[in-house]
Amino acid sequence: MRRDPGALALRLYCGLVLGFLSLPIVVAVGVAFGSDKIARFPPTGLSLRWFGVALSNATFVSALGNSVILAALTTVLTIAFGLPASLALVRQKFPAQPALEAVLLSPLSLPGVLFGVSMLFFLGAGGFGLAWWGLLVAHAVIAVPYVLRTTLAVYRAMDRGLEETAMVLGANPWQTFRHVTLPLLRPGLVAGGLFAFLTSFDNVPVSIFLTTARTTTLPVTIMSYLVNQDFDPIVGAISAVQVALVLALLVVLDRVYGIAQITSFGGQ
Amino acid sequence: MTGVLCLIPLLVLLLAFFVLPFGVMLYQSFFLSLLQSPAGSSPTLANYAKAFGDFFYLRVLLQTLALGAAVTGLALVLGYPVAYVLARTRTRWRQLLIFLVISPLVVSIVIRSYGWMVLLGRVGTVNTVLQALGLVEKPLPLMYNWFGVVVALTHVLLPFMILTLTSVIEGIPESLEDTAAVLGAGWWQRFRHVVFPLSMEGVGAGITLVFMLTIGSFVSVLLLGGSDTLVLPLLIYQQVILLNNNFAAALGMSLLAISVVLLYAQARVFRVRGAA
Repeated sequence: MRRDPGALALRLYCGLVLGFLSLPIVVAVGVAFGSDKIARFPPTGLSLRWFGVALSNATFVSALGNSVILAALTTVLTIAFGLPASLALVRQKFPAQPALEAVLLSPLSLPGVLFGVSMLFFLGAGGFGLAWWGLLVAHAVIAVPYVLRTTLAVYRAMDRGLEETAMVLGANPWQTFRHVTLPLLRPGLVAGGLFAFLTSFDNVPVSIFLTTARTTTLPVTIMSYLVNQDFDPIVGAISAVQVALVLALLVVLDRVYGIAQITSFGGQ
Repeated sequence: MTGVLCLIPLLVLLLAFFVLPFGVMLYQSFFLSLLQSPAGSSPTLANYAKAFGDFFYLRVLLQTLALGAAVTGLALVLGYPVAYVLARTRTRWRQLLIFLVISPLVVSIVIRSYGWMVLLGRVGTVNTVLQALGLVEKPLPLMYNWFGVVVALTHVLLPFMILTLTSVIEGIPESLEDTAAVLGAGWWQRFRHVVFPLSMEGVGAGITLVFMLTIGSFVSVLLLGGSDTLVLPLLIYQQVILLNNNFAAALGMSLLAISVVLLYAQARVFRVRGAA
């Protein structure tokens, strides 16, 4: 950074923009610790009662359970489909490889609403209705690109000579995979898996078309709550818990992988 | 050979549950719904004619594109300086900056919208502060209108712009700026004639990405918008609720077409960069 009249102004500007980025999160979390009946920031008094109110709300608790199960199974599915595919994409040369990879990653970029609607029509046309597996598969489709991208990046950067060495030393392909490739791929899998989990856990545009009252997820429940009753500190309490969890995950991610790499859409 | 076999499960998953659903949507967009034509209908372009011929729906399309342009422009103006600082920071502050830019991305959009609702409501933080300072007498209408939508969406998409720009600006050698400085260029001239022109690919990629994500956004518009802030994703949602599935399908295909064109344009921008 250079020292001239512009530098100070530049830093000030950045501080304001970064403040803008943090503001609604700080507010959503801060509201949870208020004693007011309506969400207010800053709160007039401090209290933890909204956490209790949120925890005793059966609608939110069951939606939270649904979301956790759905996100966990989505993560398992994305790794089951994404890991073999990324191995194949690195080991084998495919015709039109960049285009192929772009297509495989495309669920990431297309508007979620479109996929949600088309999945709804698809399940309807197939006579499946709003089956729960439809929701699960839809989440797997939108989350699998994260696993694919992180494992591809890690596998490409990996020293493939290690695999050859293992083979030369007499390991069969499975042993090589199990004891050499997989441990080295772990950072990519952990990062991709966590992002797949978060993608499923936070999703609204796809879930809103595919959930029923019984299968509804936490963000969809919160959203209909906000649409109907405006803002309530209960949502703040849920936000506080969720933000705390997610930021903890982010720190873990940074340790195992380096967050900048996964989220930089411009990075190749 | 095993390599190809390993790719097949994912290909099948995406063909069956990603490509095929869009195929169903495309197919349905060419038929009238049972509500419009109870006896069934033959293939028709009526849904598309309605989407592009009716002034009401055309206005929704234009509003969607205008919203995309507004949010993209704001994200560029707000994000560029941050991206520059992030790209040029080598000190321990770098980790903190990255964290501040990325953390909003992992917080649910519903929660972020909720934060904005608390801030922008009639008795929200912003209005309370403005009134306490005596700047306004009556609370300003800051949400359930375009203002709230633009603020919330800019917040959602700004990190994407910053990260895209950062990755490109990092590739511009700092020595070029030093040389310009030695030759007497002030900060504005260095930005105007050195950094900005060299970051045009990042600007192009960031603009396409943010525009595409904005015109497909749904949650922020639903929560912070009002009756007049109708955009394509919301219109599609409403039509599905009204069981106008076939018309929703035509609207969906139109939005999909725009998104695919933008996606292709974005890929082209990166190909240029890879070749250079």
